[in-house]
Amino acid sequence: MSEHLLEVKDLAVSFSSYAGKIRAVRGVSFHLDAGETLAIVGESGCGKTVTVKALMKLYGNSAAFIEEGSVIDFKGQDVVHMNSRELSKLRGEGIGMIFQDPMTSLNPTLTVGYQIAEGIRFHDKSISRQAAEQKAIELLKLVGIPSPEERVRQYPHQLSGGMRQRVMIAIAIACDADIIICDEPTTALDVTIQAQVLELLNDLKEKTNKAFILVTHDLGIVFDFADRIQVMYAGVILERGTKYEMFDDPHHPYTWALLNSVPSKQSKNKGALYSIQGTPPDLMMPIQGCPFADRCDYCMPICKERMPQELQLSETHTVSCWLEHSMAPKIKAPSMRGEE
Amino acid sequence: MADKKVLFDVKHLRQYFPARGGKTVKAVDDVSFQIYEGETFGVVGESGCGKTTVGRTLLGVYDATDGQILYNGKNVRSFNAEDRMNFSKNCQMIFQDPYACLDPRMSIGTIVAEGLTVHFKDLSRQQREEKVNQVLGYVGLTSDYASRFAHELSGGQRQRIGIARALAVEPRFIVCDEPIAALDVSIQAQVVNLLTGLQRELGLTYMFISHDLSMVRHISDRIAVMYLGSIVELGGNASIYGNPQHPYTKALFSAIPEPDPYHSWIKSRVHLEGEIPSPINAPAGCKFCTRCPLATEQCRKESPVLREIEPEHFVACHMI
Repeated sequence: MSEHLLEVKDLAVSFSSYAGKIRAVRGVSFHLDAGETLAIVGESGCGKTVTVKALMKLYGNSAAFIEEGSVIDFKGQDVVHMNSRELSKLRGEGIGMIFQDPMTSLNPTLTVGYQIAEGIRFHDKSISRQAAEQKAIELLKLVGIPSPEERVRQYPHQLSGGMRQRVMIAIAIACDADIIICDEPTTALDVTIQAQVLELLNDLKEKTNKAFILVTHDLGIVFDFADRIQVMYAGVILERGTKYEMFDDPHHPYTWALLNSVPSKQSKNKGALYSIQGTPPDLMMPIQGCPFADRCDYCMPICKERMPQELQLSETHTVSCWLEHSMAPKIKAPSMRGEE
Repeated sequence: MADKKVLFDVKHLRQYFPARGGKTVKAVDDVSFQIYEGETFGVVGESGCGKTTVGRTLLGVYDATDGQILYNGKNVRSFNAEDRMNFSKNCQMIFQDPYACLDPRMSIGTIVAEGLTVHFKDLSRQQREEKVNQVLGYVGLTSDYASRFAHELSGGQRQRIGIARALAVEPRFIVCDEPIAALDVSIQAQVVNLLTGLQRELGLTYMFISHDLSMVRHISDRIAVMYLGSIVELGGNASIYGNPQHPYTKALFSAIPEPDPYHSWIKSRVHLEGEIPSPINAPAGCKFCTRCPLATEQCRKESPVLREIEPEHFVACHMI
């Protein structure tokens, strides 16, 4: 049994398609402890959502499968080999999830109260219908929805986008899960509403001892919410560290690019933004070497041949890049925060 | 700015849409602004504030309910056929969704050349092809993309096609309606760099509509902040971002996520309770009064007008 709340080792997830196997996640290892927040950052298609869905085998009937040799250890339980009954217990009670799009994740034909109570009643068969509804009202109050007694009887279309996302959060925490996965929780929301939802999540983090996994492409929200950050690209983790390490001393060229491609308060009006040329690699093809090599400004011949090993920079900070090799040229990270 | 040429002069523009039950959606309600030649005019606001409607009405996609739009000093309503043709050639649009705005059954070459067949009728087939290759070159694509189809391209490449299509007819003014909203961060930077580069080379004027406040700050010369169909604050980039005056602008800008682990923007932001009301039942008086921390009786009765509080910086608020 692992000492961590969640330990993932060599997780690989593939999709079978008519054209061959798509290797969406290609060997990812990480851990999570109670009370901490881990952010998984990357562009669309880098495998971040696939990774977190694998944590409770949430693939439905899709063609995805977890490859042999992957280990997911949640509180000493082997998730990879769970049967459907064990998985049902894990989902909601062990791990809860907040989905990206509150418009499509809620059932339009059921009241929000029913949808919150559904999980409660599934996991606790002895609870009465009234008691479950009462609990739903309390949860709605907890997530900051005004007049919850009325809202509980309403349907999703009667709520605004921000309210729907609050309902999603209520559903995720309804069964007191140890881990809450937030998959792009604010992407579909306006900035002021995004700030309200993030504040709510921050409150929950401080009040409870839950662990959070935040999946996002928005670096602006990551540094405020997460404790540790891992950067994913084409199904592998390129760099990871505490938020301070990742901000003050990023080592991977991809992390540099991500940090620099967002205009900051200090950046020059109409100055060139740091941009990454090209597009992410096709995951259908076998990738030799570092997956970022084709788009990297500092690519060396070795980068296209072999994937660099993960190098430990500190207890929490690791990077997979050939630039760290003793024979590689010493490259200074391009200056962050806008100065040209 | 006084010496700059005014390209668009918009006066008291209103754009209403009928809604169910005999109600009216006041998508744009009494908006006035000017766009100068060669600048980037940013329009920001939350969804439903009418920013897209302003852009579309400006280009004549909708027929304005009320108010005037002067293009080069001439009212767009009094255009004759030739003026209209000129206007549609010179004023183009880049759309938000690069997946929905390209016809899947047309080759990229046909899509880009479509405007040429209307506005440059005299071109021979070969000249047209040359022109298509030239604009594909502007947006950083090679000429062999002309024979491909939209489904073969990535999101960033499609957005480049959207830009190439707008550029093909040699416009002077382009409405960019959330051109980067559907793109990944690394691709967003590519497209924004492309837009600023093209502006430098070709002297284009942009209206840049976006809810991405940090990108608008990056690209715009002047900015209008909209709330529920009205402009609440208008001014130069530095005064709007450096010295925001309207309580809504302050709240909106403090909610911009800043990547900085040492300073929490969530905690230090200006709090704004509640959500944007529906434009069908917009509040009387100042539209922001239901969420404004400074609201008084006056705000609930009279709607404020834009006042110049410093040169080229306008605010619509009773409290300032």
